[in-house]
Amino acid sequence: MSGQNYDLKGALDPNIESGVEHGVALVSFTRAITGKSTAELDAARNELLAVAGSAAVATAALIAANFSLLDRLANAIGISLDDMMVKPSADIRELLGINAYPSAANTAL
Amino acid sequence: MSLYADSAHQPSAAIDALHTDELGSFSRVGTWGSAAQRTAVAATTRKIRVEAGIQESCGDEALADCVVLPDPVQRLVREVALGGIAVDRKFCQQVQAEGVTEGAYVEIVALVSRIVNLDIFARGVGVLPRPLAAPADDKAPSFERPAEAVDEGFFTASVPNAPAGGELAKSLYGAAPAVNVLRAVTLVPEEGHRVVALIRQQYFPAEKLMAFDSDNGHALSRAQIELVATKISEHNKCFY
Repeated sequence: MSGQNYDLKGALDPNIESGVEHGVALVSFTRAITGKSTAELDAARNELLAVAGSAAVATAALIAANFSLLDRLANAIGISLDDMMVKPSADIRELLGINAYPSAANTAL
Repeated sequence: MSLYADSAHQPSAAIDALHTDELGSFSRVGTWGSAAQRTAVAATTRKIRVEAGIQESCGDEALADCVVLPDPVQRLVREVALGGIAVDRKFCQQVQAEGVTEGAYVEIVALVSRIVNLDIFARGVGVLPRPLAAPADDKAPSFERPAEAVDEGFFTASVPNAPAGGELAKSLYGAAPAVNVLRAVTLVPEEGHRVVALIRQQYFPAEKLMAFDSDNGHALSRAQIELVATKISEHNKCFY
């Protein structure tokens, strides 16, 4: 990741090229995994499989699961952002609209 | 036999073993919940998510009725099952005011979060959730609260990093200080150990969390991993 230029908005919108390899397929798969349509998920999984392979599908599912776990812990226990991350993350949080999340109240900014 | 033998997308043997152990944990006695209560919490989580249309049923919803969960527990399970977005300090305090102890609150949050972890993975690799087992025993919970747990500014107490957290902190976090989310559910050390192990194996060990060029043997690069993580956290409106 050092020295690479990425468009962080591509993390949230599959129509924006993030610069990350297979980024569009990954974002589409991730969006579908939390959605209601199994047809959409199946299509996104097949697309990710086609471009990145089965191990990538399993890993993407694992990361989606892991952060589904972490997000719930953080939200429900009121976990504040670590002090060392507050300043370095300021620009990213502003760019991605993260400061508007209800859980932002758990961190003194 | 692999836990995910029916999937075309196999995890590593280590993840398979981890998830097998995780699945069994819901049917065993915890620190604050009996085996039946913990099973009911996990099954209720699934029932809520199936009814919301965000996961498929594997047919174990009847286990949600193996004990009657009180209303404040039901509300907590529902909120966390669907992401915990609306949970704030007032909600946490209200649930406790209605009789859910602080330790039980933490254990319930951990249980719901951990079953969602398994179910999201199963969904991602194209299989149904793995069926829960019936409650395995009728032992009484210990109700033990670690003396090391203190108010660190979260909604509930947690075990601080060493030296304040003592030997318990070292056993939970290892030698290096743990970031806040790793300490989230350590008021219930068993749940804390599980969460640390999950993050270590599913994502990165604590010492590599902030090293963005690090590798943990994943099939995706760090940048790809963080892309997925960011999208999930946007969905759950998680500031952390």
